[in-house]
Amino acid sequence: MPQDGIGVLDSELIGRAVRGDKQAFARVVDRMYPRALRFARQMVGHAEDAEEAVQDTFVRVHRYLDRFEQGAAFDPWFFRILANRCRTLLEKRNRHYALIDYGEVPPDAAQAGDPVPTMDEFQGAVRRVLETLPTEQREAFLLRHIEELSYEDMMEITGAGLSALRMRVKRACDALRLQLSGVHHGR
Amino acid sequence: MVGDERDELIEQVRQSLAPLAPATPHAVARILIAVATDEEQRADGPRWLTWVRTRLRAPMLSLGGAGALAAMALTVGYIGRGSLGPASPALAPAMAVQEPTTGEGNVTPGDVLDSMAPLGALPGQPTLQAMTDEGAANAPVVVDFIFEGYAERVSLVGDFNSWSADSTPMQRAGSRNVWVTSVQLVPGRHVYAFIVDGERWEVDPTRPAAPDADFGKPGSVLLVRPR
Amino acid sequence: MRPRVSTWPGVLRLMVPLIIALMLQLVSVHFTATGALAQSRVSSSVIDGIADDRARTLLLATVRDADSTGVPLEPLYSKIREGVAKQSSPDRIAVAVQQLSARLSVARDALAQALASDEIAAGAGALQVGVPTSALRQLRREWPRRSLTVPLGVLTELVAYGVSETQATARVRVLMASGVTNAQLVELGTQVQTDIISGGTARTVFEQRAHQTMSVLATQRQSGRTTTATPPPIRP
Repeated sequence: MPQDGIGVLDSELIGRAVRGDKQAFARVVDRMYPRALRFARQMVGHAEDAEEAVQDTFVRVHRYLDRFEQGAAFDPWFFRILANRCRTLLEKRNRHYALIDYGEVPPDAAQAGDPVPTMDEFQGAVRRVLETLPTEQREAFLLRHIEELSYEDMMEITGAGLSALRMRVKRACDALRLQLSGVHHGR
Repeated sequence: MVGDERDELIEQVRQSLAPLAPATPHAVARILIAVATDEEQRADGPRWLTWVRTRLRAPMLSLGGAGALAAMALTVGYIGRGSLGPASPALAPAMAVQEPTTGEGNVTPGDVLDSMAPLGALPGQPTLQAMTDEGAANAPVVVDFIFEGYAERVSLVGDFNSWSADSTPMQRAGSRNVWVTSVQLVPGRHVYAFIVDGERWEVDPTRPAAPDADFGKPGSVLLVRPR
Repeated sequence: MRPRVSTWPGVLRLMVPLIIALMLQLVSVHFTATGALAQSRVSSSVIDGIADDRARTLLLATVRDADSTGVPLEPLYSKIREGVAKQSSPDRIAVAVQQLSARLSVARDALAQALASDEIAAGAGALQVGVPTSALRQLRREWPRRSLTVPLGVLTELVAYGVSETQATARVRVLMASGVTNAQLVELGTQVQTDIISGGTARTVFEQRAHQTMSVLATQRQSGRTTTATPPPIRP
């Protein structure tokens, strides 16, 4: 859920951005960036890739703003682009690692693959489990439980059907329950 | 219980993943620059814009990106704190700092030393970390400066070029009013400004102001981080 | 006895190195003189840019005094150019340069064995915002071989942003003693700037950030790491 106004956009602001108002677009970036970065980091598990995905997303959002239907919900449209960028980056990274599997391991490979630093043991464990999930399950879980989007919005974002999305979220939850049940939550 | 709905553990997971970090001015500026550059490229701007974009993106792609970005002075007219500040109250609560629960009395050096001394090494005995840091401490760092605004010509002036309006002219990045230049700066505190059309003094709205007791014309401050 | 005349080539052979050495010395003297002349031309050209006679005379005297006492001149020239770039009056430029020269002199003495003129200039900057001379002396005493340019720059920025000079100096000293890197110091300064711009009070924000940096240093010390991890962002 958006907190402290972050991620909250009114249709008037979006409308101004669509009409080419630069200040309005800057405020769209300002407000959506935290949510975008959170989603991207949790999707790709790598801070710099996440920043790249977010930057590419805003470039595309700006490029295609004129295609955005006035009055429609902005979140699904925005997250569709962002989720696409994250999937593309993950595919690119997987191809990269598939290639280097046959060659010499770069000296910083371990570091480059490190997840985002964790705040505590539980959070670290959560991130590790998330990383092991198939991309579509991770994506569905994050959209549903972190971004708190409706299944209707998720269908628009992912292009998947309702039952498939429900199944993905369920499997992600099951995996988290299974693997985290023994981890002490130190709060 | 439905498998995709929240129970206590999923709620804990949600709470651990939900916190948001506020957007820093630099992060927003970087994105807006990328957007402006993309707009230029699509408008068949000069080919060397690709180079500009690459340079701007480079710090983000390296592991030292955060540091390089912290040092990067990005000036985009419409994203400065001045213009965004009042218009985006959402940022303020997100970046607010918790008040300490201790008393508000003046802090004496004794208090400070008492509270921190147990963690410190003896003065005059640099740790290994401090000594290894020293080697790279003065190596110059490339900093990209960007100015956006209507102008016929723009120069970068600062303590690093002796405030010479002729030393560091900025290049126009395409047909729009984006001006760029790169300068090698030694780590530390630097004060700078832009001179527009040979006479107009412009500060960087994305950076803190540097008070100027001597001439009463503030510049902008940049703390350059070592590599 | 060998014919006297026959000894000339030998004498010449002996003299050739001497002649070459002499010529090299002359060339060297020539270039040194040219260099000095060039430097004096540079300084002269900077000061010549000041239209007012009285201010120009004052500036020349200030620069000569500084030169004779070993104060670095480049910051003074830079200050003159800064005044010109800011379209200040000649009188105001002359006064600013005089004051800077005095601060540079104090900083140079306080930072005895200063490693570079950058460091002296950073010390002068710190003095200008109110960092006491004793703090400069203390830092140099504790860190005789570490460049203080970055710590002084951060200190200046902290004090300029409203952190008390006593608090800022004490914290920076302890952080340095705890092994803080220059990169971490700059990070700290940048975070404090950002927090203050976002509405935090200087003292509170600085306390929080300094403690976070100390925690990072403590963690690094415990785990034996020497990376320059930055403290996490503060959240409400």
